[in-house]
Amino acid sequence: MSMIAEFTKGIWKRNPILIIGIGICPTLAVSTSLSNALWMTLAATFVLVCSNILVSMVKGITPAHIRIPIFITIIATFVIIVELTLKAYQPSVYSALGIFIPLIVVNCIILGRAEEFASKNGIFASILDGLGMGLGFGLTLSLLAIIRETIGANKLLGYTLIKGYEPVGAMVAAPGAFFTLGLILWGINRIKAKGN
Amino acid sequence: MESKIFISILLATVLVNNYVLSQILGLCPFLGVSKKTETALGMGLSVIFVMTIASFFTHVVYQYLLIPFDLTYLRTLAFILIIASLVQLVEMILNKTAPSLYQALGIFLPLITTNCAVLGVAVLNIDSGFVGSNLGLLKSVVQGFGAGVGFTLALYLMAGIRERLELADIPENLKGLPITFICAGLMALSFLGFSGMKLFK
Amino acid sequence: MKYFVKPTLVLALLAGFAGFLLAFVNSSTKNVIAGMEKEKSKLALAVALPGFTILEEKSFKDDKGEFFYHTAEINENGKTVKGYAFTAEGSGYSGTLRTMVGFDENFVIRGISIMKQSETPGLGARCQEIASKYTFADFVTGNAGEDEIKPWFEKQFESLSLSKEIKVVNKGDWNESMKDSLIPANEVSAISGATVTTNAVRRSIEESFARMKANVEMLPSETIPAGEETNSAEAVQ
Repeated sequence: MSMIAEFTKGIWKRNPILIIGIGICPTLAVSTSLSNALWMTLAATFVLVCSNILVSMVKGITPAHIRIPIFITIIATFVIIVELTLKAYQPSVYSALGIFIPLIVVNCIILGRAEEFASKNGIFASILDGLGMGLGFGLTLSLLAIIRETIGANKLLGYTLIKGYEPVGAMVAAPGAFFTLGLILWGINRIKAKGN
Repeated sequence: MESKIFISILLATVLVNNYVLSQILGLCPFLGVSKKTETALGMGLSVIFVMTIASFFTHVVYQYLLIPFDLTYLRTLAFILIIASLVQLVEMILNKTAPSLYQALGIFLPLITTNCAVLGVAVLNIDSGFVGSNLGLLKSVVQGFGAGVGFTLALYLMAGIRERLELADIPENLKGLPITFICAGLMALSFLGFSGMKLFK
Repeated sequence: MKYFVKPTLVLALLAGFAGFLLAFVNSSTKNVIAGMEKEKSKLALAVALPGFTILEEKSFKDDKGEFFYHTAEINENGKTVKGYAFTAEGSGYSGTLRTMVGFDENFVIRGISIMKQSETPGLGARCQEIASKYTFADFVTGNAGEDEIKPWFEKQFESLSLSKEIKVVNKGDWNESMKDSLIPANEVSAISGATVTTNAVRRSIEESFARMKANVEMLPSETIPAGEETNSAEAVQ
């Protein structure tokens, strides 16, 4: 596979959320507003790319049977770096994302890419893979966030859309998250079915 | 008086703040293992088990190891390693001492490490300010147990619905994940009704 | 033997590397975070008691533990008016809600500032939301200017009386024009979909105020001779 394809596969063909179906928890929980979604994408992509680089670097010396603890330690290290940096320089983002920052550790996308890709490929390919997957994650998250924020809060990036319109509050709560992703996946299935 | 606090923690984690349906945690196993009620129950019991002991150990480590040495920033790393090794340990002990239980739960245990609800409850125990408070350790354990029960409840209900859905006439493209999400949404909507509930005043 | 040594070595090396990296990041962010926390409580105090000069921090002990509060004063229309501020804590929909509350000697709230919350994003977390005057169209066309810095939820507590019960009503998002009907009735409008959060804030304020009232003598300044003024706010044990 060419290097460009390593990058672009995460956006559609192997989109982590829509096609593979992993990393759903943060997607649903954080997509309450577009700014939350963008910050989450940034944080998760940083961890994903860094852990991909390190996993790819140590792949020669990693004994196979303890690879999972090693991957988890690497990922958790970068998560803590993100946690501390956000706490120090973006405290409002840190409190808005709350528990979902430490939970990046158990985001299946990151461990999945370490196991499936970075531990078998070179550093450069791993960086591209991480960036592409991060972008795919971010695009899906943003799509969800835009739908939920506009309908559920009548806002986009914190600015009111239509003055005086009472928004559907349930859309920013948990049910709205499930409905939106369910309907998006329905649409994806239709597109896939037409393609075949 | 004290028992009231524990009952309210329990009810809050099982119903009001149900981890799956209102906090959106632990969705991977919720979607992956909810095809049959039998496996859902097995997974649920394992999660209750692991969450309860993980709450205990993470609380102890945080209070007596991380705080005295001023290492609270290592929380995430410490907790995930505790959970991972705990799961491994439970698997080995069950295998040796209770083979029948191991056979029932064994296949689910490795999956629990990456269940974000387990790490979630460990972190939330700390964020709820249980560390250092009166009876804090017991509060953490109760919250862990309640979170597990809430997870099991959601998983079991979902599995029941999905068993029925097998026989239902659904549009081809809606089958599988999309309809599951829409069902989960309807369940979450009904659980939202608990949110106004006042416990003891 | 080899089965033991290599994995242990690799894990130990990695843990050492991770430890060093994290210790470095921690030491470089620690002061920033600590400074931020300090700045935050200073800012919260300034929001809770706008214009007041903070005098000192005091505390008393009752059966619920230690209680910290600040005393302050302001010169309004040539009179010295005393002010007090305390931090109220209570459990909201999920996790703790910590609010700095400032009020004057007539028990009228001067301002509140929510310092810590972990409520549901989009619902309870809106207690810290700053309502923008501008719409998204203004933002795109570049017409959006500077906004207020105070969240609307905090603003509606201003001028409410602590000596009467504060009532929570559901009238939708607060705006400036609702002031005239809400303040005389001592009411706040709940965040839509997050009545629990609104009630939690109200309850924590009332509970903490009751504790303070029971333990601290707070008299209007004009009733006290000038010389004894400094003793007036002292804790009665």
